[in-house]
Amino acid sequence: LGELNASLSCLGARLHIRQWEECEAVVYDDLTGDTHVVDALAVEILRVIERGALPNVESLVTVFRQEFAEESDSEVATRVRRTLEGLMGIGLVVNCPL
Amino acid sequence: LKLGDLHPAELMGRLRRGDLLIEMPPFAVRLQSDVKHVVRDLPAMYGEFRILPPDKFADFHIQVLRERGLRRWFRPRARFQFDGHPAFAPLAAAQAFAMVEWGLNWCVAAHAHQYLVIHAAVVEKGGQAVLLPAPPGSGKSTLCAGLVHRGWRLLTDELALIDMQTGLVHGMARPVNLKNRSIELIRAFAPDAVLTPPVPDTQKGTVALMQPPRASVLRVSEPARPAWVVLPKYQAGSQALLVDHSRARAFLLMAEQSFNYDIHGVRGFDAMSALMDRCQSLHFTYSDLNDAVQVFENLAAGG
Repeated sequence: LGELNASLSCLGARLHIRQWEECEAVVYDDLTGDTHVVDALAVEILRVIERGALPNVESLVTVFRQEFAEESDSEVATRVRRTLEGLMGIGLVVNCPL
Repeated sequence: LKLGDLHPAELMGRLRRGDLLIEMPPFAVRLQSDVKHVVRDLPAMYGEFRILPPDKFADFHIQVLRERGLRRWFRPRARFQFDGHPAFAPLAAAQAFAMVEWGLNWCVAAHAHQYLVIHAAVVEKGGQAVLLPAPPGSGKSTLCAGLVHRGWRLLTDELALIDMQTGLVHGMARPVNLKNRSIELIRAFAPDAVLTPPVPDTQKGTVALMQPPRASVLRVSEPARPAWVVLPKYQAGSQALLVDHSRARAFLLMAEQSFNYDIHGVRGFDAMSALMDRCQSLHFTYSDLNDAVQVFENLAAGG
């Protein structure tokens, strides 16, 4: 993934998220018109990124370390990185050089 | 005046002149045809529908006309036209009535963007509607046909029209499309069902249309409030089983099965979200129609 330099200007204005009482949500990307189903962690990652630019992946992992306290740091990192890769693959997160 | 009240000669005359205006709420359709199969099947399938004076406004002007030329004596074909322009490749004349139905579906799906149009059957009981979105082969039409012969109101077999302001669903109470094995299945399940003669060798196999119940046609102008989205799946040998299903997944399937979700942009997303807010999302597998109907009865009764 390298350095993640995602900023609000890339994401905040164009994602519409709808989640019900379940582990999945729908996300509408009004830049592409695509709708995606993502899991609960992906939703949280999108919301964290929406709140403000993060300097790198590690800072994102740190945010979720407490959420997954029973898992090792490396497991949390792997989980977050995989989810982030998925989000980048469908264009919901972009790597924006600052 | 109902279409079924017209004397056959009067019906034929109106059809040939293009003076037959059928009210199919929320639309009106002007139909012109010189194909005998259309003249034969129309009263059986649309007999309970109101006809309008020929000078009234029509949303869709459709024609299904015989192809000219020498070929017509050997292999007669018919062509569908919309607003006077050919819309599809011609088909065998025996498929002409099915072509009316398919063409009309296309007219609505391609033009009625005041609605969110979803490829789904809709039936209603007690003021609550079940939406049955599904790709071909899921048994949607068979299930729909079975339910409307056990007291459920038919809104539509093909096109759910979601009013994006009110969230209510409209249907046109048009005939139900049956294909291949489901034709015999419905004949056995509902011996009183009125079907067109089966037409073999279409792109969808053998097809027949089933007359909509009179009670459904009488209430065709009444929309219904969606309460359930049920994803049906016919599976040979399976028990009738209704289980909770991810709303997000159902949302995506409904979007995929919509003809104009993409056109509406974020408005479509909001309308679909509002629809899913109101509905319980369920997945349904079945193989026996009687069992399936019982499960839906329990659902409507709150069980």
